[in-house]
Amino acid sequence: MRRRSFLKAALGAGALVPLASGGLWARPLHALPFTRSAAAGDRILVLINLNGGNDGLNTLVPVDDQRYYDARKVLGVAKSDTLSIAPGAGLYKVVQEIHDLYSDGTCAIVPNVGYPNQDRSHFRSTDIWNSASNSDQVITTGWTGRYLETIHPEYPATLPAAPFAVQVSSSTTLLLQGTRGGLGMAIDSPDRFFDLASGLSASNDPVPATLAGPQIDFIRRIILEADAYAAEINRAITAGKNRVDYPSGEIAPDRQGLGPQLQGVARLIDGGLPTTIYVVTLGGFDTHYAQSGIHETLLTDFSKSIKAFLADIAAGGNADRVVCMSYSEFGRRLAENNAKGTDHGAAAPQFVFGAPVLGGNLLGPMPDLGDLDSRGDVKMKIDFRQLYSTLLEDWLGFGHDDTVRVLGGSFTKLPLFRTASVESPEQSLSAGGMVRIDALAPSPASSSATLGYTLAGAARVSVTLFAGDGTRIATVLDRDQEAGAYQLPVDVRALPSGNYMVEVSAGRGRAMRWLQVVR
Amino acid sequence: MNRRSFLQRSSAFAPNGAVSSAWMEPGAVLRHNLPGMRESVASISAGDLTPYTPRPDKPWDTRRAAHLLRRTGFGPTWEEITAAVGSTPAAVVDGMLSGAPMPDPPPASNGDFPWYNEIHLSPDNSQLQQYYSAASTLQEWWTALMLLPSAMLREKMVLFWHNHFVSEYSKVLVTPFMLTQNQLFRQNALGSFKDLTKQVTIDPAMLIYLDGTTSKAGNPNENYARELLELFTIGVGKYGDGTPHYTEHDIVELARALTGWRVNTTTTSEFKPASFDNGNKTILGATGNFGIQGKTSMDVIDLIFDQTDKDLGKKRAAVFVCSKLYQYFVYDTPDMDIVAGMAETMAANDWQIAPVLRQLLLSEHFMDDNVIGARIKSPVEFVLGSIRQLHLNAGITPTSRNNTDIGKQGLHDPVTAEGYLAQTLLAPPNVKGWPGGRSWISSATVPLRIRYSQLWIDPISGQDGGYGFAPVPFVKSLPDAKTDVNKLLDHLLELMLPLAVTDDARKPLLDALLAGGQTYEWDPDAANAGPRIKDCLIAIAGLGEYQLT
Repeated sequence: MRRRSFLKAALGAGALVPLASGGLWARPLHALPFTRSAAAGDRILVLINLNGGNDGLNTLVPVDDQRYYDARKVLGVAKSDTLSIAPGAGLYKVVQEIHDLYSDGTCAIVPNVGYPNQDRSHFRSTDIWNSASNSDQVITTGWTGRYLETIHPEYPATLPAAPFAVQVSSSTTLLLQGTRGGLGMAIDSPDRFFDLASGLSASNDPVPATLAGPQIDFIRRIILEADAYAAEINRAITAGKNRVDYPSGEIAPDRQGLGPQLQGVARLIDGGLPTTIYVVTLGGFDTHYAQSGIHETLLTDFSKSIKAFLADIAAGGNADRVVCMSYSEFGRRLAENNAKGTDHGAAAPQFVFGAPVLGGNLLGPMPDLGDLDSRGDVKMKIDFRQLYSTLLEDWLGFGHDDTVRVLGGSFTKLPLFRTASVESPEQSLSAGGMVRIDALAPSPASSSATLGYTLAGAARVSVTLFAGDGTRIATVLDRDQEAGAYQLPVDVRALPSGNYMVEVSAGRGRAMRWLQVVR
Repeated sequence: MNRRSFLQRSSAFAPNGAVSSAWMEPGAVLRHNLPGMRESVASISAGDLTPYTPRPDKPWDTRRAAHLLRRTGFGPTWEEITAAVGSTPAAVVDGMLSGAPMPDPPPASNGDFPWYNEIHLSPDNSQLQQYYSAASTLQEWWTALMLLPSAMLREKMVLFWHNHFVSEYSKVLVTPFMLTQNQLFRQNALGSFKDLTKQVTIDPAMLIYLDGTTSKAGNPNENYARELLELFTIGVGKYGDGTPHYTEHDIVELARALTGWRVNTTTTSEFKPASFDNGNKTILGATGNFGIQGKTSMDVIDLIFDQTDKDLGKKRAAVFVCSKLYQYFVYDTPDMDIVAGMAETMAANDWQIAPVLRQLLLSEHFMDDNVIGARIKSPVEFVLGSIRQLHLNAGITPTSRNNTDIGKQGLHDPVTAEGYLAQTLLAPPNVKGWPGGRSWISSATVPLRIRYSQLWIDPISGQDGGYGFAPVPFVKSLPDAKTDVNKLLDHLLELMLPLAVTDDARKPLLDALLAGGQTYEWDPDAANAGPRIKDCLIAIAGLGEYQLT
């Protein structure tokens, strides 16, 4: 069998740096110092597509739920084969490295992610995730494409020095498609890209006024972009270094692992490529048949690769700039099938990684296996667009109104990040914001905390308290206020221990900050 | 002339400077074949399905004959184009549609017992290694068949069916089953879509690939049922009145009807009544004990093929497959008027493909200038087209086992080169197949395509044997090669590009052939003619138009 090319592994095989696994589930918020907040323009988002529909129930295992073991007599993961992260919740031991990251506070887990009216077609559901559409809606652009074209109105009239987004693949997907064309670039081997693409040219002769004309324009544009970006990518790949070993990537025939892909991404980041979004893909999760073994191989690759990547990024001094999110078109059915496999399901857990992430958090309850949908699938509790809105606003610093427009609606954000949505008080006000948070102390608090905030002008102000999973708990304040500085006590005596988010909104401005409560 | 400097000189502008606004018109970028885009765009004025009549403003000439041959094959040679021009469109198409003998299966290695007679349903590691090697032989055998002039349209349809009824080798693993399926596609390439669907439903490779082998009464597996409706016959979506083409419940019930089939150690499958769900099912509004109870009793497939497209009033499965045929042979975005006409022809001819293709290929629509050169070459079309049109020696035939001894690697092995360009035969990316169209073109693949063309035309000496391109004999196989360099260049362009180029684009190509000389000084036998011919061809292959067919 002759296969397509694999990415070259730049480093030889070697032992991963062993890191202690903690096993704590209630990770104190202050266990790690708050990281320096990178300016929004320097921030990077790495999207990890687990293609085929990852079996979330065999990733984050409901270890105390007998209904799980009853439905999965063959495939059920024994509690003793899991690493506990919360009561009733265990990570399958094949993702031990993810458990390490969770324990270190650099991984948050969001259970029950999906969307209303789950579509069980791989292709439709992947399109839905990529486009951020509703289940019954066809949108032909991607959410990151729309984000990127909003912040780069000059494109494509002016080509940037480096691509806005890089998909490690032979082609880009709907994810990076905008209304003005593709916003991303496909690179399947960064270290040879320069040799291939540099020096290519395309004519600007008139094209025929037939259907062929736009095709020629399209091909010429891709040639020009490849050539235009070649120098910058070569500069980054030459200057960039990898400082840890990665999994080899050859995990099965015709199945490329994440290791070499993330290794290439790390090298481009280390080399200073000014690209905002990277997309990597691990396929093979469509485990209808003989799941045992295949699924473990894939999860192991995911786990070891992401840990190596984050270690590499940290060693290069970029830990505060990089956040990763996993996504998969659906989870799998609770009941295993007759073929020692699992069929297409609905909601599933997703993972968010990185030093800026408010890690060590499970942002919601484990699936309620007594309340499945009509197909016997896990019901959605968190809309996937809540993850997107959080990433756009709280990580990439995208404006709230723009986020609503790009996502086609307002989706409650999740407490995923250590820092608030604004870079700094100064930026908040100068960027047209109406409000900044000056202080929220003490944190941790046990009875009361004091919120200090400043209004730039008269506005209707509301202060809202959210639980760690994004659920609204209380409105602390809702009234018209004049410009000025305010102090507001927040009573936390009724709250259980945990992480909470305080949001101050004033007109179109919003600011947020985390508050930890300990009993 | 230094090749790099030639390529740079022929570029009309600096990459980072002001770029012509032509390519950035929003419509130009947006109109066609975005991933996930299924709806049709503004209709094109390109004639209808009435039979094409050659006439002065739409002549049957080199360009139009080459168009027909490009779309129905893998890159015509000059001789094939000339022969077609000397014939009639109908005679050419009828020739393509006439049955060609089935090829013998791939040769055994060194007279060993042929691998395709050894079926291991649970292969051990050593058997897997043999199967893996056999898959390489199968890929190469099929590629060699595509290169032959005798059954191009049939082989092009085998590739169509491979990308329609997808099975991935990496899951099936039992290479003999992949050969059986490949021959099934070949045997039925131009025959009845409905019959082929029935045979694919119980094809051993498909039974493994979409888990039919584990589906049984009481525990049906939905995988094949879902794809049978979504990707093979009906297609996902809603009609204009808002009703879905089918529902999740239809899939559940259809999965029950498809239970009972198992593979065995022959290359056929068998029905096991004990595993069949013998109860009533309600599928697509009909209730009955539907099933696949034997190779001649497949009422559930009949039921699916009876569905009517509410919007077009034609058989839905015919509309669905004709849309895909349209995209494969004409253009990325289906013209639904044409598709409706094709679907009607299909229904009137008992689901036969040949009459549909005959009507399409001989239509005013297909022969219209508007669609010529409007498709992007797939990697298979790109690689094999270059080999055929430039008389390259791919070093493979269907009757000898070559892959172990040709000593060619990477870009000089057609199967591997196709894979580098993202189309490995027997390994589509998923059950939906290669999306095709613009998805073939990216910053990862286009630079490779251009560099490969350069190296096929001008291999780096000492690296490997290359394809043995012989520039001087190649141009001398074209008319006017010795006497008129302008006409020679016209022929080269007609051969290699589907579209005419502007005078501005043509000028550097002529300069490359002449290298500063005058047209009357042209002599293909001059000592330095070879490098100049190569320069010219490399420049042609670097044009955007070379990616089109």
